[in-house]
Amino acid sequence: MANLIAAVDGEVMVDHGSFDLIDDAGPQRARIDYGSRSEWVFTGDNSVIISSPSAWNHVSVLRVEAWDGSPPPASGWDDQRDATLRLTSGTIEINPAVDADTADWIQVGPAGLYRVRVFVAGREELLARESNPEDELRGIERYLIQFWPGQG
Amino acid sequence: MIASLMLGPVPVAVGSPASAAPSETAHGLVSYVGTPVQDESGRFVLPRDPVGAAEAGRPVHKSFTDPLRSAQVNPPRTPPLVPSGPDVENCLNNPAARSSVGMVYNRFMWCQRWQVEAVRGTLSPQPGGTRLAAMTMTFSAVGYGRDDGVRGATIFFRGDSLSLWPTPKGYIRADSKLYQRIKCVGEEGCDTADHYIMQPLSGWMSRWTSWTVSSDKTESSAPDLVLRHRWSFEGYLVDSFNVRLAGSESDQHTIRCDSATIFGLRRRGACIFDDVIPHLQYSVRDQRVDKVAEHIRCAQEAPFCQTYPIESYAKVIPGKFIEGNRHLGALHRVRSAKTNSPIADANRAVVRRECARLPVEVYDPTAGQQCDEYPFASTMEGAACCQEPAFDWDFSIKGVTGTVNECAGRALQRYYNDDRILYQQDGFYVRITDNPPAGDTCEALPENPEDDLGEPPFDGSPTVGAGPDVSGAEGIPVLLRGSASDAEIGTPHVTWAAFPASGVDAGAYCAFGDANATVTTVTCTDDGIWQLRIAAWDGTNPVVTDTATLTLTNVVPEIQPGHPGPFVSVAADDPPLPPEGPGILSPTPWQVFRAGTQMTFDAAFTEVAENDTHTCSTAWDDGSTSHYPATAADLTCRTTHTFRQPGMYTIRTTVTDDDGGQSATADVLVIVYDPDAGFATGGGHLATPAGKGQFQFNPKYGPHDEGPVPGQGKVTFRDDNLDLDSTALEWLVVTPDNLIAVKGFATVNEITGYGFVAYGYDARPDRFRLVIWPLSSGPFPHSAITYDNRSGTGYDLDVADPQEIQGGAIHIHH
Repeated sequence: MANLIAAVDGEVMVDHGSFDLIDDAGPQRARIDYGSRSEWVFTGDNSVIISSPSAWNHVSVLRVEAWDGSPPPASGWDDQRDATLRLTSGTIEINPAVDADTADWIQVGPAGLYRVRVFVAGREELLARESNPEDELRGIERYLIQFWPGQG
Repeated sequence: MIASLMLGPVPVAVGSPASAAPSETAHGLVSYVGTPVQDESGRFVLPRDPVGAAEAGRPVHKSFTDPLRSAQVNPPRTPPLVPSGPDVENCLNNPAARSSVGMVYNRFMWCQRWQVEAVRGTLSPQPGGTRLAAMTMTFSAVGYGRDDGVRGATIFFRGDSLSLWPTPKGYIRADSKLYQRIKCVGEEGCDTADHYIMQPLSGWMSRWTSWTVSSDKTESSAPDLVLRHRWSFEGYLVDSFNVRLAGSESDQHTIRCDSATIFGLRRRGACIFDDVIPHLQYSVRDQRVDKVAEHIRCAQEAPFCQTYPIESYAKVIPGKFIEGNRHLGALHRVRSAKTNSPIADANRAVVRRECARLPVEVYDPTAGQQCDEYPFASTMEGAACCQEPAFDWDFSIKGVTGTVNECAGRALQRYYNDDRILYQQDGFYVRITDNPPAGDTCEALPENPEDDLGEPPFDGSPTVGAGPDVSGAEGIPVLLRGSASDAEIGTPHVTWAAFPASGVDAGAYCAFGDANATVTTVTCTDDGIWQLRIAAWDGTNPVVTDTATLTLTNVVPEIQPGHPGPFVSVAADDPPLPPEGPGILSPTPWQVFRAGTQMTFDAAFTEVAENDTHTCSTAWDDGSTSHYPATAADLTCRTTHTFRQPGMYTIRTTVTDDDGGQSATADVLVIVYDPDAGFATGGGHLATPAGKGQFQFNPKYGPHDEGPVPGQGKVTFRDDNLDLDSTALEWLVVTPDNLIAVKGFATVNEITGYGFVAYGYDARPDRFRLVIWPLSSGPFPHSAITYDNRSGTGYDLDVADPQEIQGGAIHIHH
C-alpha cells in the first residue's frame, strides 16, 4: 500500500499551450512532438512538459503528489498518461520559466528514477469557453500529477 | 699596436653597449591596448589611438555575432574548470574576438584573442630615449558568466605565443615575471579575491589561468539587487633584472549581476556580460516559427506593411533590432505569471478581443490557427500599451498555425532564460533573420542526451590538503606537496594563494610554479613567514580550503664570480644589452688609468628576492671607501672614483640587502700611472733556482710622454735557464713611497709571445720580482706562469713582496 508523502496544490499559467515541471539540478531533456496532437505528456531527464489544446493562455488548477509507491487509482479524470524519468535532485519546480517567483515546488524524493502519472480534466469546457473573449480562462482545466520511485 | 696583442677581456669604451644603460633612468610599461610609444622625454605612454578600443564612455555594443545556438538553458550555468567546447572555439576564431574589447559571444560568454606588450627603455641619452627591450605575448581569454545562484564570473587567460626583443639576452626574458589580475570598478560590491597572479612569462604560456569576480548583493538597492561592474585585466612586469615595468589595464568589460527570483530556485544569483544588445531571433526560413517570424517582420515594418487591426493612422510598432541601438524602441519584459500580472493580463485581454474581430482570412481558428500578437503579451509594449506619459505603441495580431505559435512561444520563454531578461529593466529587441535554423528552435535541449536511465550519481565535496609546513629561502622555489581529490571528477580545480604573516616587507609577493597544480613550487620576493592557502572546487559544491605555513630566510645578493668575461658581440641594430652575470664590469682587470682622471666603477650583482633593496660598499685601496645605493634598474653598483697617486690598486666591493645580508667580496686590480711621477733604474743580481739571476731595467717617461707607454727604457733578465729581453713597454708605475712596477712584452730565450711585469722596491735592501707568462693565456698574469721568483704572492704592487737582491741597486728618481 503506497503512502502519500507530499503534495502541493496550486495553479499554473499554461503559456502558448504548455507548461513544464522541471528538476533544475540537471539537464532537462523532454521535448514536445508538435506533430502529434494525441500525445500531451512529454518526459525526459528532469522534465515533464504538458501540452494543452487551448489556443489561449489560461490558468489551470493543479495538484502534484509524491508517493512512496504506485498510487491507488484516481477517479473523476478525463484522461491520463504514464511515463518514466530520471531526476537529478528530486526537487520539482512547477513552471518556473513562466510563473517565476510564484512557481510552486515539491520534493518528490531523493535523486533517482521516477514514474509520473498525469491526469487531466476540463479540456472540453476550456475549448468551449475560450472563444468568448470576455470569459476568464482560469480554473477550468485541472491536473493531478503523481510521482513515485520506480522504473516502468 | 698594443691593443692588437690583447686577448680575452678588453676595456669597455664609454658609450659601448655594456655601459650605455648604467647612467640612464630605466623605465617601462605594460600595455593591453597596443604598443607603447615614447614621448618627447623618452617616457613610455600608451598609444593615443589604441587599436580596437571601445567608444568613449560605457560601450553600448561590442563586436557580436548572432549565436543561433545560444547558451544552453539548462541546467544553471556554472563556469567550467577550463574553457573547452565548440562555443569557445567559435568565439576565439571569430574575427571580432581579435580586438582590445573582445567579443561578447552571448550573455554568458565573452572571449578575446589579443596581446599584451611590455617595453623597457631609458629616458636618455638621446632625445626621445632609448628602447632597450620589448615583449609581446598573444593570448586567448575567455570569460564565463553564471546563473547557478552565485553572483560571479570567471575569467580565463592563456598565453599563446611569446616574442622577446632582443633575444635571448635582453632585459626582458622568458623568466621575467608577469603579474596579472582582474581589476573591478563601477558599482560597489565587486571583488576579485585572487589578487595578482605572478608567473614567469613562460609560465603563462599554453595553459589556462583563471580569476573569479564576485558581486555582493548587499551593496544593491535596485530591483533584483542589480549591480553593474566593469572589469579589466591589469598587469605589470618585473624584468629579469628586477626592474618593475609600470602596469596598465585593458579595456573594460561590463558584467551585470542580479539576484532575481524569477528564473527558478537554483538561479537566484547570476552575472552576465552586458556589453551586448540583447535580442531574440526568429528566422523566416525556420518552418517551426516561420509564420510568426513573417508576422513580426511585417509588424516591425509598419506602416509600410499591412498589419491588423487596421488603424486610420500610421502604426508604429517597437522592438526591431538595429545594430548599435540599445535604447530606442526596446521591448521590456513584464510579469506574465498565473497571478499578479496586470500588464500581461491587459495585453491578452486586448488581443483576445481584437482577434475575435479579425476577418477569417486573417485569423481562422477553425483551421487550427492561433492568434499571434506582437509585441508579446509578456512585454510592457504589448497590445494594451500604454498610458501617458509613456509612448503609446501600436501592435499587430494575425492568425498563424497553432504549432508554430506554440513553438515560438516556448522559444520566447527560452530566450528570457538564455539572456536572463529581467522584468522592466532589460530592454531587448527582436531580430528577424533569413538564416537557416540551427538547433531546436522551440526547446533548449542539452547536447549528448543519455539514453541510459541509470541512477544519478551523488556529487560530494572535494577534499584538499596544503601539505606540511615548509621552509626555504626568499627568491628560491620551495616545493609544495598539496593534495586534492574529488570522487566524481578525480582532481578538482585548485588554486594556491600566499599571504604575508610576519616579517615580510611591504610590497612582497609570492608566485607559484603552477598555481593550479597540487604539487608545485612557490617563490616569494622577500623573507619572512607566509601563510599558504590551497582552495579546491569541483564545479558544484562549495570551495574547500586548507593552509600551511611557509618560513623563508634571507638570501644575500651575489656579486662574484668576478668579471663575467668578454661581452657578446652586439649587432648594429641591437639595443644596449644588460650585464650577462654578476661581477665587476668596469674597470676591467689590469685596466690602466692616468692619475687624476675619473674612473667609472660598475659591478653587476644578482638578487633572487625581487622585493629587496641594496647598498654597495667599495673600498678603493687608497684609504677611502664609498657607500652608495645600488642602481635598481639593472642590479648594479655604479659610481665613479679618481685616483690621485700612481700605483696598483685592488678595488674591493660588497653589496648588502635591506635584510642585512652581505655578499662575498668582488675585487679587481687597476693600474694608475703618472708620467710626471719619475722613473726607475736598476741593475744587479739575486739568487734563483738556476743559480744567479741578473736583472737590469731603466723605464722612463720622456718629457712629453702622456703615457701609459714609457717612451724610453728596457728590461732584461738572465740566468742559466732564461733569457728575457723586453720588446715593448706598456706602462710604468712609480709610487711616492719608492716602489715601481713596469709591464711589457718580451722575448724569452729569443722566442716572442711573452708578457712580463717587473717589480722593484727602492729599500734597504732593494728588492726585485719578475713575472713572465705566455700571452696566449691572456694579457696579464693569471694561470699559466712561465717564471715568477715570488710565486704565490699577489700582483698588486703593495703586496708583490719582491725578493731581496744580493748585489747591485734599484733607484727611484722622482
